[in-house]
Amino acid sequence: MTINLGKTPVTLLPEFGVLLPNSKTLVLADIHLGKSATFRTRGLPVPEGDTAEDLERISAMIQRYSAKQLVIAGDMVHASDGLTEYTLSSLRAWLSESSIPVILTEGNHDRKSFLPELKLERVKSFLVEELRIAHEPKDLPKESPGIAGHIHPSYRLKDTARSSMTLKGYHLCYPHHLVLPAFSHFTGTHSITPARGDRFISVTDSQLHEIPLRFA
Amino acid sequence: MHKSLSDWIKKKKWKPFQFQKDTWQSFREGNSGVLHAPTGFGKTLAVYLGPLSETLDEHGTEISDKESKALGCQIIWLTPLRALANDTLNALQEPVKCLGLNLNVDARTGDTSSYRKAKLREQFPYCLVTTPESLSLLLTYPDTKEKLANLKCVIIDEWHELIGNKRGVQTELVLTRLRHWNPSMRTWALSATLGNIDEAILPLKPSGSEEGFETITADLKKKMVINTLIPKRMESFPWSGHIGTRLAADVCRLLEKKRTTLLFTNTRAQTEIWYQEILKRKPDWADLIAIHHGSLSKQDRAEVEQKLKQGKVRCVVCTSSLDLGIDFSPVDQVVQIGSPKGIARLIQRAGRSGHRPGQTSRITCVPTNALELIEFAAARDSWEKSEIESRQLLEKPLDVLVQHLVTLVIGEPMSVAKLKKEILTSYTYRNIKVKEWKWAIDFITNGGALAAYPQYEKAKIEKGKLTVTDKRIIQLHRMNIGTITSDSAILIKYANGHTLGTIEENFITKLKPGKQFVFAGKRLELVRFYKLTATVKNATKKMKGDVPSWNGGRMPLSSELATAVAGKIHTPDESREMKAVMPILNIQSKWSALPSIDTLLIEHTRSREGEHMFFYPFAGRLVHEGLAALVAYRMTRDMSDSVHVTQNDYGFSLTARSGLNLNEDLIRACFSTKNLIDDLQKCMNTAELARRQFREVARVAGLIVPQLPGKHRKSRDLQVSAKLLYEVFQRYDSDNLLIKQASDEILTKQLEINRLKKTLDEISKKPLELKETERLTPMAFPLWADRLSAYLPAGDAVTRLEKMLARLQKESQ
Repeated sequence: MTINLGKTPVTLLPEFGVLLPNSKTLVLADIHLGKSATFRTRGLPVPEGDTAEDLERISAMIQRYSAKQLVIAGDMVHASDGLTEYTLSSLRAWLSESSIPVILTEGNHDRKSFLPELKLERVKSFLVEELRIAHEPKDLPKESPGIAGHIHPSYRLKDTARSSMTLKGYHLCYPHHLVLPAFSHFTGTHSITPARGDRFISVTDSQLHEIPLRFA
Repeated sequence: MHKSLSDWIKKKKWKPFQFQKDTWQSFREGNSGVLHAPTGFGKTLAVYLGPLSETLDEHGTEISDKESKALGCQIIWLTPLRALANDTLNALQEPVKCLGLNLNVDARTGDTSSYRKAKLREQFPYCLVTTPESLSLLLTYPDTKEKLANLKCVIIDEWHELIGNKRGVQTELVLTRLRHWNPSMRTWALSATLGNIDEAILPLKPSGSEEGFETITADLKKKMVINTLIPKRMESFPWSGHIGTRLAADVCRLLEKKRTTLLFTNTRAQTEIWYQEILKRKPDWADLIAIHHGSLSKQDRAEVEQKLKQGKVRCVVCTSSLDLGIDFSPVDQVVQIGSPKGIARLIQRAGRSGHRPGQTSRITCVPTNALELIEFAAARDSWEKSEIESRQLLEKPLDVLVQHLVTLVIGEPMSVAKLKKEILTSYTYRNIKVKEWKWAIDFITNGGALAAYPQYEKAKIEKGKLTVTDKRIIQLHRMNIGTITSDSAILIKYANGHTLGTIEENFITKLKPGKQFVFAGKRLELVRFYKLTATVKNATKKMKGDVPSWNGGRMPLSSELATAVAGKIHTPDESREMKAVMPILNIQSKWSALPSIDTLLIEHTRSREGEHMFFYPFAGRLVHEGLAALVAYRMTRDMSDSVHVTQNDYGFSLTARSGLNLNEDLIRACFSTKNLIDDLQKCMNTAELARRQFREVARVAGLIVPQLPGKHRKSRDLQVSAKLLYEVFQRYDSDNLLIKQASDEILTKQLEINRLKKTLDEISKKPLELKETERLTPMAFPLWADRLSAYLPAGDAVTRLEKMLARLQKESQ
């Protein structure tokens, strides 16, 4: 599904990320690498598996969409305790094998994790085509289009009087800001309260659906 | 008995009961045991004076400070409720104070200040009143072993409350550890009557040991009057909750007649509703009625309890929060709104009044629908015949075990072999399998061999002994001890900081600032909701406001009571309750037949919506939920139509556009036990249920870090929902035994698989009574109505229901 932010076309992907078709830029947010490792180093036995899988998912996306650059809109890693040798070496190996430049617009989790030197460009925010990319939506300029993460948006859809489902997806904040869903499967979501004009596109079983919103 | 104590008893002009003398004697002979006696006959002194007297025999009554210190902790009193701790403390201090003994009796619970806790840990009191969780926590301190070296006796109060749940298992494991330290320690439990007392005492003694354990039963029956408020006008089509607060006027008359009344409701929401209703009818009682339930703040609850004890209130509207223990002597009447759903619960609540020996307990039951009258009558019968519910023991829950293992090795490093030997002496884990034990040890050391757990190490082996050294892990574990799980609760506060209590997140997120709701008996207006706190103010002008609901889950009718109810319906007696419901039963039998225990009644009828089938196995709501899904699944495997099911404590219903019929062979096939688990798993979405159950398992096993508002920011990175954890385990370590435990718990707890199997077996032996009916029968009506209210917005449902009711009423005349 392709939408326009301002005049820039943006393709929403079912893999929890977007592609800017003109510049072949892939944008992801909230990967939270090393989250399970954070748990383990703090004495909670959560199995490993997410790091390798998440990095493979990114590689697959780069290949599938022939991306020319990757922008991570913050929270690439989870916490300093999670930056174990395994996490870091996996990440380093992945970055050095990556054929395209990687840009990280630092998020709150990245900052407090004290990321070591890595083969990527670290910035506060990044401008591509006409879009500003930053971690938190509040850091996007109001008057111009942009993409952010941080929120892990989801929408609660009621189907009957007693049941509802929580849908993870893209929150398009009127008029021209897009909030990406968290790339990581091992993170929670925040249920949004949409404002008038907003749109929400859910991702379920690798399918995109525009959800008719109820406004307060 | 030491002379000073027997003198004290004489001075109080108090004649000991036989069961008390028996208990003292048994303790003197070195026995452990269980004592069950009705409340209000002096159980406390029966078990307490034994060890106290022994101490006096050994040391005399003149105990110097130095001696007192050297005595150490000799008695531990375990109470399941911290609210009970203070009351118990007073009772236990009384003889010590009266005799001027230099012995310290003190309490340590979750409510004790950290300063007091530290003091108490430095010098343990002679008698320590505490909770299973608090005692378990003490095991994590290395010096506890030494401090408890002289322990004579552990007394477990209200054992019936602990048996059959994870707290009971935790208690058992703690006892096992104390016995391991001190093999001569005696254990005495106090318990209300249970249907299976022989089984219930097994966790109290070392597995396999038969000697030195005595069961003492007080041969006393509490005088009890169980009454029912019978509505003047009865509707023939009882629908759950339909009577609602219509009997409030009669209830108020009951309140006026007595000095102090406890008014029990079954849910917190009902408590709020009834409080408002009584207040409306008796505005002059504003200061004399109070409200008490588990979501109110600790201070407010304590204040109500205090007033109740001092006789300063006329009525307290409450939930099971006041079921237990505390002695409220002024209470001379109990009112129960709605069915208590179990015989033991009714007796327990009734016993809250007339709490002194010789006094009569009085309870008046108020129905919320007409059929509840039958439940009241059946419960009274069962009580008269002393048929009380059983509590089933748990099957070696591994989450409790791994928590306890970490607790143990934090306190005292120990070899794996020795640990195993100790755990095997507990009844619950007596036949733990090699595989399960290995998994538990892996879980706390390296996560397991099959899946990847790099860097994980909670406990490690040093010099052949399992130990935990990381301070952060120790601290986290201490915070985490316990088996009680609660949903993330939102604090309700006034702007000045006064806390009113907690509320569930999904209620408050639906409210907008400025909207009103009813809580703690007050009409409140939401000011703002931020993070985990909702700030409120008192509402000034009256608007429509909701009563919050809490996810308590409705209690199912116990199988004992269900059977009794079915019997009553089939052969009604002359009681007032049965006379009152006779008109309903007459319509039922005219239009269809009366359900009974000897046959299974099944009705089939048509309506505008299609076809309905109603089944009445009388097995309780949870079993019916499983049965309904199972029968619907099997009956409609070949149909394309979807089927709607509803259930209550008496039966369940299926509704479909078409295709339902009374074909006996087909119905028999649906109730077959063949492929039971498989079919259930397919139709109940057990995976989804297990995922929800996993929350509790993960919390107890220490995978979820409790979220404490405002504090412990350091653990913020560790916040994760059980749902996500479950998915991670499913993906990367699907053989994890905690996942299996969650699905087992769903089968046993949520679906009551054993009771369900038993019900199917019974049905296979019963003749089926198949009835084609022209319209909904009185028994079918509530099942039909339930469906309606689930799918329509509240207002519409009520209008439709009333229309339907009116029509049926007319046709029945």
